[in-house]
Amino acid sequence: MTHERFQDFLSDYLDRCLSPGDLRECETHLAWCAECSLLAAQVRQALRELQAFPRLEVPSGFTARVLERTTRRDRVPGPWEVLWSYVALPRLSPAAAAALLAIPLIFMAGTRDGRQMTREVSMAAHQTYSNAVRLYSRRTDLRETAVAVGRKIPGQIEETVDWIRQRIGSPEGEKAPRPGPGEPKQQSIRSLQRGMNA
Amino acid sequence: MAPTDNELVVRCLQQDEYAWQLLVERHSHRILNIAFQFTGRREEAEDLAQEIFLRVYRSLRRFDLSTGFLPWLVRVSRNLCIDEYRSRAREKASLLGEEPDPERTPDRRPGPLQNLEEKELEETVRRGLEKLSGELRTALILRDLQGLSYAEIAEALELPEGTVKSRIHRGRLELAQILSREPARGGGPRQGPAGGGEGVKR
Repeated sequence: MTHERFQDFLSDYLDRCLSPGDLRECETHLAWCAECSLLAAQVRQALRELQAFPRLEVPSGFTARVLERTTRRDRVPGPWEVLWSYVALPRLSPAAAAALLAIPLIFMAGTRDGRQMTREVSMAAHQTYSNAVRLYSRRTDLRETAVAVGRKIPGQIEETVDWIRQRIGSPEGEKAPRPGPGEPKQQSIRSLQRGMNA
Repeated sequence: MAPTDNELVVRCLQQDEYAWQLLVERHSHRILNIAFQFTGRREEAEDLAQEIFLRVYRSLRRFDLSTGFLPWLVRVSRNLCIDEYRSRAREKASLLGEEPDPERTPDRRPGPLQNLEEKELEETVRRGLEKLSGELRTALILRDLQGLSYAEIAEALELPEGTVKSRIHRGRLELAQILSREPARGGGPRQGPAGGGEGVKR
């Protein structure tokens, strides 16, 4: 057996996992080769020192500390939680919010149904405010409220508010003057007037 | 009959906390010592072992139930230990020349005098392992300190068994060479059995 061949076998020789034939060959080689004997002794010594490397005992409370860090605060997240964690990532939040806002905006502005819905919502809001003004203006103590609500009517302008103020400031039962020609928001004023006279 | 590791993993995935507790108890000693053997520092071993379990728990869904749990556990541990080792090496490089403050890193073992020899041996082996390349060190730790079989190491490292065997062989030869150059305990150069004390012929 050559030195090289012995060195190839060395680990298996020390692990005692050589075939009987190879084992005999190695032992014969070791019997006369001082160089390989030294090598085998050095590796055996290194393994002994490795084996003597101290082992730590598990400190008391270790399992409890691990459980504290895992099961309570770091449960295995479910698939929806994982998805949400990505959506809720700070760097993705603005993009997610923009996407959520864009959907109704695109629907409202970009489709016929959407535009129709927007018009109807606007008309409904207008009607609601107008009704509120009409009801408030019947009560003397709520006329200022009527003016405040009138300011909120979508699409109204200052002249409309002035008109409301004028209307509710007039004597009880007096008919409100009809807006003159060329006065803006004629339709809104007329609808308010009809409501207040109803 | 005690449930297998893979059965416990399945129960963990069903949010069974007791199964996770059993897994932790079953592997604490091994993981703690892998952390210790890779870092060589007692005071860091427990923190690192906790980190390993934390990572294992978070990665349970990625574990392939058709494979063995132990090699996977060792792989996760080894990856984290290597990350830790690298970050410590960077830290060391940035603090080059600074010796660790013994008061800040106390050795919690009792009786320094009575454990002097053991401490020296630990330090010698730790230094020897640190001088090995990462791949040889990993192979040696898993084989000669953790006692894993070649097949388990091959699975853990995702390498052919022949490569693992070769690394272990080279690692042993290199470590023997390194340790033979270390001064023997009690002073003086370490003598080989043949009285030469020279390094291993490669």
